[in-house]
Amino acid sequence: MVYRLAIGPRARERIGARAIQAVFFVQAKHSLFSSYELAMLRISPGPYARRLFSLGIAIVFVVATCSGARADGQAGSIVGVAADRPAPRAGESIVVRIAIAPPVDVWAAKSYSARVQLRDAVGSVLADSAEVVGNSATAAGQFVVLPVTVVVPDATSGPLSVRATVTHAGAIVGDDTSTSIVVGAVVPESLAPEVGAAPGSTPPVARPKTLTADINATSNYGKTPSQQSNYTVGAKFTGDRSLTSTFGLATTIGAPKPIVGYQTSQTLTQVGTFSPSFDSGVLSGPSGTGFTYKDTIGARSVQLAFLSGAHATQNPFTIAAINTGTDILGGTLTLTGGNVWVTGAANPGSDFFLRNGMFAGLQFAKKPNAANFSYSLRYGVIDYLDDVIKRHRTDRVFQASSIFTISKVGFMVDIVRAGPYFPTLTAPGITPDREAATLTATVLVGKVNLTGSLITNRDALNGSFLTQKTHFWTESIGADYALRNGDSIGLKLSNAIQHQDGSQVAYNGNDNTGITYNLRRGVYGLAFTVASTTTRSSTGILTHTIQDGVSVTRTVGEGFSINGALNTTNALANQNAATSFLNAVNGGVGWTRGPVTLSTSLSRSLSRPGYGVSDPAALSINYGVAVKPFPSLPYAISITAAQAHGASASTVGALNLSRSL
Amino acid sequence: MSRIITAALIVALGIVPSAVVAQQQPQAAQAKIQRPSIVLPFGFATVQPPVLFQWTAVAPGTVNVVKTRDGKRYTEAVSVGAPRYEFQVSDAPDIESNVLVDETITSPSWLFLNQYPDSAFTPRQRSPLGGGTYYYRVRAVFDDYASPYSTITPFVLTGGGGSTTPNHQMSLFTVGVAGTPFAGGASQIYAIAGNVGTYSENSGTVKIIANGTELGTVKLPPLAPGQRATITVPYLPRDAGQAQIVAKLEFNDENPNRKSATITTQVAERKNVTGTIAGTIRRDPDGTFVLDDEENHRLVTLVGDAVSDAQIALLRDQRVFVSGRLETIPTGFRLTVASLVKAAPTATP
Repeated sequence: MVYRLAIGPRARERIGARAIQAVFFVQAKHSLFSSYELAMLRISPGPYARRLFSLGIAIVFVVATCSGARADGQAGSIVGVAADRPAPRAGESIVVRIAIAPPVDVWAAKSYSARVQLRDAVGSVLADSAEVVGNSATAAGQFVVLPVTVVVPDATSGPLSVRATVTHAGAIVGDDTSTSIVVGAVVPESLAPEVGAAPGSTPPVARPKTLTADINATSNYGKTPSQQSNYTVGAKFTGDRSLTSTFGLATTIGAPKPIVGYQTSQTLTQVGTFSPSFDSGVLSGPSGTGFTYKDTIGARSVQLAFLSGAHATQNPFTIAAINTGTDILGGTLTLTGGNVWVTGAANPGSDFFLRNGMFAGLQFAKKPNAANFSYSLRYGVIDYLDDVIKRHRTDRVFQASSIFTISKVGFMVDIVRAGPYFPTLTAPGITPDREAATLTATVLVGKVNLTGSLITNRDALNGSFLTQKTHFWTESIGADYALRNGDSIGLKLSNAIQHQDGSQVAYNGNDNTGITYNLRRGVYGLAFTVASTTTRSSTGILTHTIQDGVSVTRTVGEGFSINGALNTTNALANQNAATSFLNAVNGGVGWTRGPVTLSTSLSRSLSRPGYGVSDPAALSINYGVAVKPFPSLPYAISITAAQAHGASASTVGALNLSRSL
Repeated sequence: MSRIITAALIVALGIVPSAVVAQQQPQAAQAKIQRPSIVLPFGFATVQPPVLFQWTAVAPGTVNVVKTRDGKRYTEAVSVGAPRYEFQVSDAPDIESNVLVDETITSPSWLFLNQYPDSAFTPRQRSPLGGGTYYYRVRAVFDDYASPYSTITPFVLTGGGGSTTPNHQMSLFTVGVAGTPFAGGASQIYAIAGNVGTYSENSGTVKIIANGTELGTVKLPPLAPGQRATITVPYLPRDAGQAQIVAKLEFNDENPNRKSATITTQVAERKNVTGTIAGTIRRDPDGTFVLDDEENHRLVTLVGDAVSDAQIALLRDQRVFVSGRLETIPTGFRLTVASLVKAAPTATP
């Protein structure tokens, strides 16, 4: 299957018959990487060094993609891995069964063995089982099952990857990471028939609901009253097809986001308000109204999107885009291309303004292999008419990230660089004129989970319009320790530095220390926090801020709880205006009995400057009533109100009604 | 199909531009104004209200305004007084799509108390901010001119939002698939929900739906402010293809945001694993037949197909060779029995 993009007329005018998109996609049919480089050279008529940069990136793509094929993990002789409890508690033992089938030859008894590791998302090895030796001989066409016991470590929660390896005659012949467990998860009391809750049950028969509907209406009253209601309707058809729809009515602009989606096992069509997410470098996140379509055929997919957004603003926009993806060399390669148009006057003060343009993105994401090594490379380029200088500009974004493990330490590296004139209307997650790098490492030492990170970024890149250059650097270390009695303690240290030079030299830095301790004793739950921040700046201001907090909750009886908290923040400084002292106290009562939940609370806070007159203390009182008449009935009503007293008094509230069908 | 797609794209890319470009508006005046730089918090700093936001001041003076007359551009120096600062907070990385806090201040710092009601909250935010990651930016505003926004900077509000205004708020943070889903195999769908308000909550459910079919509803445990809970349901897709997984948090509070999450995942083709395995047939108290090894370790659960349960029962507590199709289920393996023969105690298959 070959997809070919139409050519934008302005691009054709600018660079003649060899338009960017035509070169890019037509040659992708034959030779992806050479056409990629050629396209980059065509739209990069800048200095020679920039061409070398483009060439270098193309080489990185080719080398990395090819090397990915060699690194791709093989399950080998493992034909299945299953845990006896997919949602165990921390500290419990689980049995992981590994089904093994020799590919061709005969394996003698005790000539093979298996072991299991548990890893977190970054790849840190959290638990390692003993080697379990196979006591029976087996051969091709047969299989054996080895049960391996592994202990889920304390202080873990959430999904953990299960890595199973099989060794035969001293060599690893099977490596599988397709199975995961979810530690500490809550499981449903009863399961739908199709998930096959009982181990020995016959193949499940799906009995999906054919029609579902939810209605949720909220009315807010007070100084700025508003109303909003949302309706959700879903339908299930035979052949694994389904329809979902959400409609809304609201007095707040942009709040209702109606969308209708129809899905089959291969396609997804949506019409309404949505945010396409094709490529985080060039198209991800803009919200608008239009349609999107995705078709998946085996390992290949194609997506289309057409949307217009920002209707109630000075600069409405329109985007049309296509995205294709294919599984290749142990990863997924995606190509994205599209056009964008903006109407309305440029924002005053803008350094550049996207009037219209076209963008293209190339991305390769290597899936994790057996050693938990994965990476992604992303390159995006946009060519657009800058309505500030009335000329075309071309700018780029490049991102490389990887997750890997060295020894038992998991690492995550992310580097992203966006040019100074890279408009982010189609990819708001990108910050233009910024080069940022992040390194995170995690390791479990005994029962202490250690995390360290370095985050740095700089702006005023080559060609930037900025007259100042800013460099950030943040380093932090955190340690969390879960005690056996359920208490937990955490420590976090961080240091941040910002330096700015150019037309205005400025620098500042801060040191943070934070300690939290949570405990539960009987009906009491307590949380203590202590934090300290020291800030120094080149303007001569030295600030030392100390925050202390304690909160207590007590469960009086079933459904009846009370809570209270006291927080203070004391800012000391060498300048009068920067000093302050704030104390805040609050308390609340919650009571649930049958279908009714009542709650009320009171809070008072007072901020006093070191010098001068303080504002009156702020006092707020909240009341809440929630009623779910009968648990078996799908109705719920809640009424809340909040009164504020202090420098200005106000009352706000909300009435909420929900109904499920 | 590819022709339809191509035609649709040509229409989208080819026709719309000419229509839209024709609507270009006159250009407004441009001004070069230095933008504020964030001082603190920055770099995903974890903060607890009251939060002191600081940025570098933009000095009053003269700005060069770019203007257009008769199609020609020229600059004009304009004197401006002290700036005001427009400060915005959002839970979206682009900020613009969902501004929750919008405040104008005259000094280059602001103490955010996170108390509701407060005029700083926009109509999109009807309660104090709950715990989680937020983004902020600031720009200097003179009478008719504004600087570019500062760089968007993330920060993390501590659990419960640290609000001094009590509120009920629950949020759904993520939904995902643990393991690689494939037709006829077992994997896990998980979701993480949390109490981002200030009260302890003891109600709330999370419903998991796959391709329009409800897989299960999980009641959340009692959650203190700032606490999160992970829920999971087994996922046994019958067919390969695209799967849309939806998690819905059902909880009544003032904030309708973050109550559902959706992901689309690919279900791989069915694994056809057939073969022969040796073991001893046992029967569980619930009547299920299983196969154990010599050390009474559970190997697989047996399900009759070509062989009936009665035939399996005849060989109970005896060592056998079982042939059939192997599948994964939430608690281990299931073998659909195609044939069954008695074996010598130490024989290999």
